[in-house]
Amino acid sequence: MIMGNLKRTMKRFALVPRNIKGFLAKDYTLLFRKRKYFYLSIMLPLIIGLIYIFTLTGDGSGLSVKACDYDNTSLTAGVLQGMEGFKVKVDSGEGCTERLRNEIINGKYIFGILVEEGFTEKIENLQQSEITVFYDNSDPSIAGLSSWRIDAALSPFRRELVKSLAMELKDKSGDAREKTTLALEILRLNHGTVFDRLEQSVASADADLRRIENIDPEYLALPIVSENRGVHKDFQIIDVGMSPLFSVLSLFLVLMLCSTGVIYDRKMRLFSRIRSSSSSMLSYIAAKLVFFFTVVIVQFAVVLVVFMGFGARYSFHPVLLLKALVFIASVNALLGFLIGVVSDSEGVAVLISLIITLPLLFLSGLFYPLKLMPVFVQWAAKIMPLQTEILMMNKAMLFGGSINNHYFWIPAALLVVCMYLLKKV
Amino acid sequence: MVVALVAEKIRGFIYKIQSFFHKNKHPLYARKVRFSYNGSEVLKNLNLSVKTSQIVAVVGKSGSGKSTFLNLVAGVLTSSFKGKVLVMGRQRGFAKEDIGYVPQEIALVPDMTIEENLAFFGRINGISRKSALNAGRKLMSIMQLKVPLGRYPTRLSGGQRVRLNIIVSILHNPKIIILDEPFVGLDYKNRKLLWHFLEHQRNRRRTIILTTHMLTEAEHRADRIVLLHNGRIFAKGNIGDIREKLKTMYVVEYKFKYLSKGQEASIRKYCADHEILVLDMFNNYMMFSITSEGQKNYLSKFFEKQKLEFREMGFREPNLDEIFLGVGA
Repeated sequence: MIMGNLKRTMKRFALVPRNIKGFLAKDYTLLFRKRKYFYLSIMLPLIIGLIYIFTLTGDGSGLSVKACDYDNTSLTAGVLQGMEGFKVKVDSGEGCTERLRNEIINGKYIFGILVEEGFTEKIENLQQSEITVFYDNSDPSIAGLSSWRIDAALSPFRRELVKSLAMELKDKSGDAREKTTLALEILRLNHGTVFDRLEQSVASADADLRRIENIDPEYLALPIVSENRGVHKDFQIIDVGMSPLFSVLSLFLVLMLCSTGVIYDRKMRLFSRIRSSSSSMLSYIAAKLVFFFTVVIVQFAVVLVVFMGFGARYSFHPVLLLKALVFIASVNALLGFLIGVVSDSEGVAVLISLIITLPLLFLSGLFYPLKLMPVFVQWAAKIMPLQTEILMMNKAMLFGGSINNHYFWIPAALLVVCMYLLKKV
Repeated sequence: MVVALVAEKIRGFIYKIQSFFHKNKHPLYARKVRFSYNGSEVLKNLNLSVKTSQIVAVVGKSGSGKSTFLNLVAGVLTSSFKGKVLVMGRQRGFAKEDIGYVPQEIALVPDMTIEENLAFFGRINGISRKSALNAGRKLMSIMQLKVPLGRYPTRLSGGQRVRLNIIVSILHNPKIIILDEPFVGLDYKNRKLLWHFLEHQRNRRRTIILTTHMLTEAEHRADRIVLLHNGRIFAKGNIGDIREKLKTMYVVEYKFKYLSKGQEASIRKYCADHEILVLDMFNNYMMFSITSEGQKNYLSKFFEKQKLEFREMGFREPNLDEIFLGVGA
């Protein structure tokens, strides 16, 4: 009996490779047959990878920036033209700073550089110099990026300055050594009138050594510092963080909630009930839109309380806010609705939601400025709803202005597609 | 081609206008109904009229088109079809208040109590919460569903859930009740209860159309049986009409001691030559559909001639299950 069981167990072990082969064959077959496997393992990494490459490399043509060069020397010209990865347009005219600020606010540039008068003189005197970087502080992705992009661009020039200083130090200390050696030789010989020569030599060495003594330690560490200054004077970084965060959160949550809700309704055959009843699918969708509008309002209130609790301040524009929330709720709910209609199960709905939201996140401008990406990616982002949602929220809470009604073609088109697909389900 | 298409569109439009004003006396009136799905024709030229206060059982093999037909009548299928379907004399889109559709699966909201379910389904059928609860309580009492309204459907037994599924479908007191396989998964007691309920509705001048595989029960309880086969009405009427139409007046069963392949083939050939249907066969057992007692005697003589040792198992009028075996055979 024991031997028999042992034999069977051994036999089972021998079958393990065949079992594994069977499982593998099943999984590889499903990889191409089941769309979720295909999208998640092949398409999504491809899409995210491509977008991420754009965030790392930009469009490769160099970023256009404007510089106000009030020092206007050959050194500053060299520094500005030698900035890696930038196409610098130099302006030395009066009122340049204000013009630059307005051009950044209007979206012409995302960065600007200000070189104050006396920059070259400080460098020549081995004193730490400063340049100011202006950036659009209504876009949180630019704030962090501006300083490292400028620092990275200035680093070759910094390296050059430190190298020339080191060479100078080497030369001067060599000179001083020669002079002190001569003085020592003369003193050792101790004959002839040599005091005049000795005084000259020691005085020269003293001057060299004093120059070395006066070196600014900060200069050696960092010969040029850059200071970041937002062009919108009234905003703190926390103020501008809410619009993108709320839009992304809302997209994620409403997509998941609405799509799984629709699957739930489909599973309990509610669509059959609706079609055979005196109500209609349009009233079902309308109810969903109203429901998710209230969900979005609650989400907005929660995020707002958190941000204001940490000191964020907003100037609300009620009509714009209502318009923005209606747009966000309707677009996200209808997208969720579409996912719910085309998915077979709640699991698939969640997966599709992820497949849609991840690329949208990268193309939202939340982590990396879209203006640094290739033009076709910028166009793709423009027709994606998330960027529009962020723009609307910014207008509603920070800038004011108006929200163009033509944006509402997006929910209208989605509604038409939903109604069409519902006929097929 | 274009002219034909335009003509068809105009005809459809005229149908719609006619049906808007025309009051047909039949609760259900279907003429020349054709419906295709994914390129294959599921319903082929189907004609059916159902009178008030009737229980009509639509039977047929799986895939015969019975559920499709009911879904089409109820408006669950929104794809376009050819022909004319009038419910209470109107296009089905205008008669939804008169339809109570009970889907095959339990279609209740599992995370809502019975009371909430009643209110919800009442509202989507256009009645207030109060009216829905009143109607629900009445129907629950008739259906002997004695459970607290605060209970969740998931905590009901299978039979109770089926009954609640029917109740929420007819809260709005529809004139025509359409049930897709209502007896699936029910024990005999619950099936009997459901038949009593349907008969009660019939006595209230309601019209009931259902699909079922419980043929024997349908045979005894339904006023009319509609036998669908491959999307067509194969036969309709009462059991006698169907037997006559299918020439299955009697069935006879035999158990052979031994039956070789060759002997089986010769029996099948004999049957084909003499218009006898082989209804069923398993190992050495065979069931035949015959039109007269004389035909049975000829069959027995043939077996003797073939030197087959056999025992006659039964000779009787067929029930609907047995008639059903002969459809398409």
